[in-house]
Amino acid sequence: VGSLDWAVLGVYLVAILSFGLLSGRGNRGITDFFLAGRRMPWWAIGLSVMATQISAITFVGTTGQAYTDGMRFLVVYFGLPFAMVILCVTLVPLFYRSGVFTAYEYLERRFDPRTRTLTSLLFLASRGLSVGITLYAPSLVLSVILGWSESRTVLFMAGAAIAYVIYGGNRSVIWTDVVQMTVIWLGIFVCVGTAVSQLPAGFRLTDALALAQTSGKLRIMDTSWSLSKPYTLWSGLLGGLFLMLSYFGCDQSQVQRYLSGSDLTQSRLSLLFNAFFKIPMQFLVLLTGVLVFVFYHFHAPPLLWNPVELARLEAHAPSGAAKELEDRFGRAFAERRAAAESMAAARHRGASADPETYLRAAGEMGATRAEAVRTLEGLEGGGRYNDTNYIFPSYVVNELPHGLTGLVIAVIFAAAMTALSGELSALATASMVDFYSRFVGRKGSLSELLIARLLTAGWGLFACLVALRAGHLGSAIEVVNTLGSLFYGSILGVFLLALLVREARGAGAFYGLLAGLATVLGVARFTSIHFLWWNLIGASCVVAVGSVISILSPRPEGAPPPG
Amino acid sequence: MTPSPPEPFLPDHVPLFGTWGRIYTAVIAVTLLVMGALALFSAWNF
Repeated sequence: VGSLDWAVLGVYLVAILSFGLLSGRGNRGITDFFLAGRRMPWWAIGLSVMATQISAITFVGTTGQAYTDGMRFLVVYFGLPFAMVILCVTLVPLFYRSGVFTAYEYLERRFDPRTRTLTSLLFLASRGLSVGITLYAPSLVLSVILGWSESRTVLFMAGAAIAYVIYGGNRSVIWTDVVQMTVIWLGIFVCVGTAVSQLPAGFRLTDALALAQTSGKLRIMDTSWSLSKPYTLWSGLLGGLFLMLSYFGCDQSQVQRYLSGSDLTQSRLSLLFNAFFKIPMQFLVLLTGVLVFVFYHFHAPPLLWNPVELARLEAHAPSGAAKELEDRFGRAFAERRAAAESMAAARHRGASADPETYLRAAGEMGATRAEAVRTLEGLEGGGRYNDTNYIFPSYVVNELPHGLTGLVIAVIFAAAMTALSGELSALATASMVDFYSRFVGRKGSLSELLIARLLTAGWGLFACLVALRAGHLGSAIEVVNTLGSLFYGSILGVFLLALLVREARGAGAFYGLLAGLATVLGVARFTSIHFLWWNLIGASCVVAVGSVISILSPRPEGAPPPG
Repeated sequence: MTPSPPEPFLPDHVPLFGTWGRIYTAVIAVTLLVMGALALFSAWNF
């Protein structure tokens, strides 16, 4: 990383902080602070919705996923456009016309206070913990790649975002998201363009895609019906639909974005904007990973992508074992490269290319790497090793020209800051509207705006503390990462119950939610069903149990008949 | 803080195609086209 890269990153951080503070001026009350005064245009909200969903680790992780596993991860987003249409028809007008600040506020009006409290609490617990991990995961990768300490990386990433959210609230979040999403799109195009331009002379883009196809990296549509198989077409369409309905319909970090629209049309259009652009964007991100995969056919990749762990393997593996593995890996790489070149030459001659040598060499590389991972995990203090998230940052730092490296690191920072800022604003909103205002508000003497800012600062501090301590959490990190998937489907089920079952009442919603949570926990713990199905299972369980309880339980005296 | 009273929202206008139903149909049609293109890309013999 050269001085030009640091300059690009420095200018970016100063510019985004200044812009965030400038764009957030003029908050007079909590409607301004939490909902940007309900005056935002659809295109700004649409970019903000898109930006909030992208975290740094999904950006670097998705490219890494394409490198190792190909493009089939794309199916996760197949349900998104359908979810957006369903939300535009159902929940968006309901939330917007109710004049609520949080999605959970609506549940008190439809059911009862305890259902609102429980759903908001589940959101605060899962999102509150995961926001720290959102910050920790990329900081860990960048600290290894850039040679910074983790704490410095966390503070640089979080400092600017926390400052502008405390000052400007949701207005700052949305306008900085617009700028940062533009930077992210620019970065994606730069990455794709650079990866194509770095192909060897005479090696065309179609040759690169043919190579990726031979390796199975372009396979997207897997029509298997297995529930435990990841990323099949059906899990993407059905499971992905429920995942996206849960995330965009029930997660306050997204609901708050589209409640900031100047009218219902703006809110709807912001979601439809995402329906159009999300799949193409993820396709480009995954294509970048595939092109990086092809790039490393002609430039030697390291045996392991995490340089710290590779050094540990070299230092502590049994005598000569690491060297032998690296030599074996190097020989297989040379053989794979020669085979790739000869396949391209055969294609250019119009002859059929025999992939056998290529696949054998690629298999040998994979087997050698797997042996290195096993050796590493067997060393004293060795845990489970996964370096998928290190692939793209390694490429950016070691292979991109100076200036572009700084730009792409700025993109990774932007992705981290957009997710963090949106989530902080949502956490502060849910804490204030669903808890502080109901249980403390009337006794307090501080102004609502000051409380809102203090809550934002508190959540920002909490996120930093979790991020700084996350290195000591061990496997708890995986638990935190899956918390959202465990809860979201059941929360969606409560909203579906409210919409679909006229007879549904508070007791049904509350106990149905508990039943849904217990069912998803059981499925996650005792079965191998892939997580994309959990939301569908949780939502279905809540609707079924909630309906039965509502129908069987006596109607409160004086309550109007259903409908 | 008390729940917000219903505000005098602007009428929900349809920006193009005449009805929201047509807009949603267009979104779904484009999505299906994109998925078809991706299936073609995935299966294309490069």
